[in-house]
Amino acid sequence: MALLQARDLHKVFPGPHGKVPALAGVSLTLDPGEFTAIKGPSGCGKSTLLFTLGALLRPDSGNLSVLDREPYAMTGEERAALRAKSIGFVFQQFHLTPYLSVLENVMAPALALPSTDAQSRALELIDLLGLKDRADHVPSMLSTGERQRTALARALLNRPKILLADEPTGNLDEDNGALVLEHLSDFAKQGGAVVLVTHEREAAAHAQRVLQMRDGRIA
Amino acid sequence: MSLWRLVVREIAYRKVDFVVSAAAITLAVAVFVAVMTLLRAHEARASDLASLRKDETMALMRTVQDDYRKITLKSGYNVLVLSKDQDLAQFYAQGYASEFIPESHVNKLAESPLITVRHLMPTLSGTIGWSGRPDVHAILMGVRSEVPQSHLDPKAPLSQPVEHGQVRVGFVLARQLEAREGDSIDVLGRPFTVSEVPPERGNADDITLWLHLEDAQAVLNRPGQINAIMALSCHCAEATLEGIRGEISKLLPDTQVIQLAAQTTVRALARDRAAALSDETVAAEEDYHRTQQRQQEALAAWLLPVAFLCAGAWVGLQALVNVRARRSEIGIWRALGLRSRHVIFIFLVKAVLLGVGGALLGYVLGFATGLTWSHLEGVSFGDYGARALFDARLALGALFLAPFLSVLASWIPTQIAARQDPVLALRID
Repeated sequence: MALLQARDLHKVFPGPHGKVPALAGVSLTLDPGEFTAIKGPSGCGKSTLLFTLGALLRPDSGNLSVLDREPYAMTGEERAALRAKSIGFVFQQFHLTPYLSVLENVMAPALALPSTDAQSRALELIDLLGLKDRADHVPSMLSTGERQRTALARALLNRPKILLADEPTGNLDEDNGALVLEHLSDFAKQGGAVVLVTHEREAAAHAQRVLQMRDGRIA
Repeated sequence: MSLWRLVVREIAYRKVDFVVSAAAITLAVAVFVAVMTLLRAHEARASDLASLRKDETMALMRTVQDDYRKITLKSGYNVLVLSKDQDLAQFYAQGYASEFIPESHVNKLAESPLITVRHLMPTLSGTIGWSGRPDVHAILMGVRSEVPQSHLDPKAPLSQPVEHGQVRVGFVLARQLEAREGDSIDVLGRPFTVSEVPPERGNADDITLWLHLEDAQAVLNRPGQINAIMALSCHCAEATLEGIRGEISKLLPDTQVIQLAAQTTVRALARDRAAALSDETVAAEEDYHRTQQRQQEALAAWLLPVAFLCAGAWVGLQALVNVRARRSEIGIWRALGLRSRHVIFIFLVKAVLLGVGGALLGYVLGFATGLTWSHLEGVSFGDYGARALFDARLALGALFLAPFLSVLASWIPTQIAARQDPVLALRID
């Protein structure tokens, strides 16, 4: 059973010179254990696709199914619950909360989906990602690699089935980038589905499948 | 981690922003509490003054009543019951009555349910001379104790009677007879001891000789007879001369009643007027304080809304700036699955904490200001001290009002945060 199915997704944004098509009939299927990389030049619609697949951005047309459920047929609250439970996000800019420690940042998804083992799970991930000594530190005290690993741990806290990563290695050095990509691969190997948006050839090399995107379409 | 913890951590992280917002709430609450405390102080002061003035007036009234009694005493009894046959022209000319009535009349009056006259005192008067001293003439006045009225509360006697065998000698007469207290003088062949020589009064009292009624009846050879009953009319609405005459004539048809003490009445009226004037003074003072309080209430009526409006606008603006600064934060929360209600909770809890903090600090500041101000205005707080100005309702009101104001001011920014498009926020940052 596919974890995610997108069919003929269309999305148009208004621009200063008329409408700009960001998605122009994108179809995609993600199976369990699949690591998919989406490559393409800036402005080709990669991030728009990622937000749409992540139930954050409603397409103008087309269908999306996540774990056999249609997020855009749901209410906003139901969609948020689906995101909390099934989808993890990693961004190039990390988007860590500046006043929370590493442990608290990693535990933030538990605010949306409370669980009794949230703290032990967070500590486990922190340990796994090599942040044990940084658990009490706030983001400003971390290196960029540590920040991205914190963001990755946060994305994994609620044991999602799908992980959506938008240029996660864009701000990292080679070693830290490789480390993050290894963890994404591990996630896929454990049965999750990963969508990695990148324009780096080395990053894409970790994926089982590489899709090229241009002008809102998958080539 | 809980949403509460997240709110507290955010406040600690942006503490300057929080303090700046709380300062506005604090200031508004402080103005509110200070004004209300001042009003309360003035109200207490006006109340104290009114109470003090009322006490003073009551004391004055008691003094006036006492004065009235004393003045009445000095002026003599103001009602005189005489024989119906008494020629009043002769009475006024010689200063005493020459016709007689039975002494038992006074007992009839005393035992009757009459209330318009009090302090009944029978008297027997006549003129006497001394053999060998043609230049010395005296009015002999026989008096006895006031006859108690059985149906009335006992009153202190207005004058003390002369004891048997004793004589009170008027000032001029004593000088003529060269009599002093303790001396023995002869009155129509009977010896009497001088018990008192009163000070000079400037009237017929100065040539009067007071004896016990029975002694006077013996000296004048009028046993069982008197020629006047002196009485004091009560200071009440029923005690008109006509009323008194009507009542006494029913009891004692062979008598007539005259009123002597018009001067006493004038003085009583003067005292009544003084008391009324005192009341008017108190009323004027109370009116002044009421006017002052109304002016302060009018000031509070526009000052307080302005203060709260400014504080609300400031808090609202700060909340808007806060929401804008946290766009990325809100965006990632939404991406992680937090609902709108979580976002609303985060911002409104912060607003409530802001209000509670501002209220507590503002109350302390406002109360201290109000206390100091009222102290400078000379308001004393009596035995209770500053506690007299503490108002639990005001404290509770501030504690509820400030968070309410803060939530109200933060409402629109909170709604903006809750409806923020996470994609837009994540893309911008």
